[in-house]
Amino acid sequence: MALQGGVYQALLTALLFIYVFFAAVLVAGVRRKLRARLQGRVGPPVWQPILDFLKLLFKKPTAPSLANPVYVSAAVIALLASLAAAALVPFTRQHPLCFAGDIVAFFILLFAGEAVLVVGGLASGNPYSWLSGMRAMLIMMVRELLLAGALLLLYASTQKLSLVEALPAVPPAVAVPLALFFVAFALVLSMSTLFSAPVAETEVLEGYFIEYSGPLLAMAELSHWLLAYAPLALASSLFLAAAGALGLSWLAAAAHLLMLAAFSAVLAVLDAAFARLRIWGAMKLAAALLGALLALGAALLALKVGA
Amino acid sequence: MRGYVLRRSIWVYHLNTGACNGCDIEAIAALAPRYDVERFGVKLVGSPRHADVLLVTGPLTRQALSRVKRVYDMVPEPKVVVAVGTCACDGGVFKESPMVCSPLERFLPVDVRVYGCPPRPHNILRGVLEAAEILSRKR
Repeated sequence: MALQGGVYQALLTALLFIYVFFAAVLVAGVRRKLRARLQGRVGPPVWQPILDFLKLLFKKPTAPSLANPVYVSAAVIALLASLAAAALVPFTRQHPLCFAGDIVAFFILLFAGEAVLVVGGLASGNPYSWLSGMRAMLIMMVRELLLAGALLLLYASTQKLSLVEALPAVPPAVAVPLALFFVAFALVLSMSTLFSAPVAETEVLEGYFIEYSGPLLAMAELSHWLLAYAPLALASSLFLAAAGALGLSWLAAAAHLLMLAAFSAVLAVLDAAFARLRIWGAMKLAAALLGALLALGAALLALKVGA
Repeated sequence: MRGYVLRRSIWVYHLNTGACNGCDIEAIAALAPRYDVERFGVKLVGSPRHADVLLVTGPLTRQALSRVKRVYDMVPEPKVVVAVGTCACDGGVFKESPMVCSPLERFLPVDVRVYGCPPRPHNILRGVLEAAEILSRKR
């Protein structure tokens, strides 16, 4: 029986990873498609990120002469960290990957996912990677501090350290600003138009990805999509939990996907409507936007609104 | 499946080897939103290491030669080269110049030639899509 249970759990976990992969690709694809439609273009198919990912797997990797082993291992570690962070976000009560303290693990993995990619870029020896890496680090310093605050707020409002237990226990009045915080966090994290200073086409070209190619680039791209997916998934789960839909088992997965598509549409509108900010502007806006939503959630919790 | 994927995800790196800028303006126009190349999976990339298609404009000047070879080596296999404009194809009016070592195919395997001075954006786009067909058959 124990063996059967173990096999069942392993199967569920494998299915979860497949789901997470396709959901992350869906978010990236919907954003690209809708941005094109908003600009009056046909745009790429929603599954274009899958084609790009597979194409990169078929390419023969090349490496810069100045690269060291950190450069190669960074893409692999970043992919594992971002996949784990994305898989930790529950969308049903029967989530196969949950443990006490996974809120802390989520924070560390989300940070590690991008930090390792930046370190890999720095290890490539390209000066553009350095410039991009410095910019990414500046935004990360602002962003991660506020993410820690948001996860602390999640803990403070529920007294639980496991995401699957904490999410249904968040008071709805706190869940809304917290969910909006994670949507805004995804916008900052995904380096889309407004916050694309680290990969600015006219100054730093492809950013810290510049020297990656072939399968390593595929891994770096995928980890970037997964990093953008994770906070959106958390926002979606917060809304589902506030609506009491987290107990819907696999129907919750469908609702989760619909919610993700809706958030992607919101982000696509922002991508299409605003031009890129300079690095200091990006940092100030990230701090103001995320800080305001966090302060609102904390104030609502302190005032016990809706409790 | 490999062929389909290579045909539907085409990342282009644009390289100027001494052009007057005429072909560059048309090439950028072809890759800008007006022609919506994204619907074919075409994307302009900022690094040769990300590219599938090397889009070369201009007569090949002596100064640019070593850089062109270096950039070509940086593009991962499988890859194709598209020569855009009469200058890139056969040297154009600069053919006899001692400062120019055209045609490009003396140094790189050119897969598609798009003639014109400058060629129109839709011709460049057609050249890129033909290059993608060739790319999908490469091993």
